[in-house]
Amino acid sequence: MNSWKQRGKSDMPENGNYMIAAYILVGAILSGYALSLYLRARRSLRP
Amino acid sequence: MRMLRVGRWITAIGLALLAGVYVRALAFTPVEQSQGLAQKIFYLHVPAAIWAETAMILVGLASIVYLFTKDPRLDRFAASSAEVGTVFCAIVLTTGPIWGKPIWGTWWTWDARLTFTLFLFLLYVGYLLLRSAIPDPAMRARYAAVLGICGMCEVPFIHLSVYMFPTLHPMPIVLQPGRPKLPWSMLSTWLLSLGVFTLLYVGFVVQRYAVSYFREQLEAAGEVGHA
Amino acid sequence: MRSPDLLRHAWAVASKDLLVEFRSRTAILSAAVFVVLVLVVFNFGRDPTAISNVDLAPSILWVTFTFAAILALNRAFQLELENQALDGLLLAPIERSSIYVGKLIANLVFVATIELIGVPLLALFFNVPVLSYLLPLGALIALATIGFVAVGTLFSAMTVRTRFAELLLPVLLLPFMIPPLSWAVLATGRVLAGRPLSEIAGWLNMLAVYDIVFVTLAIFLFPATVNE
Repeated sequence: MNSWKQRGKSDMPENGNYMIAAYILVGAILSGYALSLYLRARRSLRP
Repeated sequence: MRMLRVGRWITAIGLALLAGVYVRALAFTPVEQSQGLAQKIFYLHVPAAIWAETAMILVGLASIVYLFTKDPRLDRFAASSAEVGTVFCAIVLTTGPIWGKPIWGTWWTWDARLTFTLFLFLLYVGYLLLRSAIPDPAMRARYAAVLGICGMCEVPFIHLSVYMFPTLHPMPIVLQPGRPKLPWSMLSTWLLSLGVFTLLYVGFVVQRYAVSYFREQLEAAGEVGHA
Repeated sequence: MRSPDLLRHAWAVASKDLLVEFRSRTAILSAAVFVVLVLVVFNFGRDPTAISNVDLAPSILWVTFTFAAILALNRAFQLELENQALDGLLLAPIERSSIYVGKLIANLVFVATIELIGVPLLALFFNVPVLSYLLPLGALIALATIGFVAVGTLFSAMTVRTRFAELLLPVLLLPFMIPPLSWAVLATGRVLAGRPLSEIAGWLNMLAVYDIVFVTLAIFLFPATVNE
């Protein structure tokens, strides 16, 4: 992915790790919540 | 039952499209030169923020109608929107500092926008806490409606403050009077993300609504605590 | 809803509450002691060469006022609940809104008393030039206090019936207190620093709007909290 590597522009800050952390976190929160809803519904349906 | 299935399908499609947004934002959207890669957090942070606030307004609107009609479906919707709104608000509150640290040099700043997102979160938490503290369903619905309406009215004051305080926070570049300042390559990704978050909001609310409904049935049959 | 009746009934409710409070005096004494405590602690805690009095004063002022407000609010409906007196109040031939306005007035009088004690004490202990800015300061304090006491009175009607009432009220109230409080603290700072009035006009306007919106809202919503 060429856009990730700097093309000779050295004034762009190196903060890719933050981006990765945020994207992983958001994915985890959304999937986690989806899973919790799934489980709660299942539990309510078979008491 | 059918509602639950519809909700699950919408959520599944939403999550799949979210993966698509990820790929597009990470690999096929240009990098913003002054901020670097971290700027891409924007594509998740802002749509989540829009829905975090909209969800609260919807809670308020549903609450107003509930107080007039006493229709329990509105109360179920309000509870669902509040819970989903809390989740999206949590996303904004976590991605905000993660974006802020490399750009501003600090995890937290009492800048108006961040601070008031925190207060939106507190509004949500208060609402959910109030609901959990009242066992009687009719009283719970009434009191939650009162709080929901107050919460909705609070949101404009929260917004007002953004434009009154000098702030580190980037001024709105998409939702501002006049045309958005973003180039299309970035704007299209952002719009896609907004669409996905909309889909996820709907899917989550529908499922949560169904869960509310099932729990109420169980409660009525005397089988479990309260929703 | 006829206005003269509303006010008359509200005043009746308020004077009942104030009479009870005046006879027992515990709440007002604790609040007054707290004011002195905060002033003393802040005095020992700061480095006079590093932080000026005027910088610290707004925060001290508003911490004490907020505490006083929460104290008043926690007790607002407690008395009725304990003695089933709320039913008596509801059976009386008065509008529900008068009960709210009455409670609001009583709470405001309570907090105002604390404020009337706190401001002179602050001026005295910290040598803050309050007299020269009495009018803008007074307006600011009045507007902000009405803001959060109005919302607080409405919420206390609800939380008093839940478990952990005293814990839940501040939690619910916090996001509603911060906007008026933050505007008030900022504006108080400007006033005490001698800035021209035009600078705080914006904040005064926002506080006034906030008050009008939430007092009106509370008057409309209050009946929903006591209807069975």
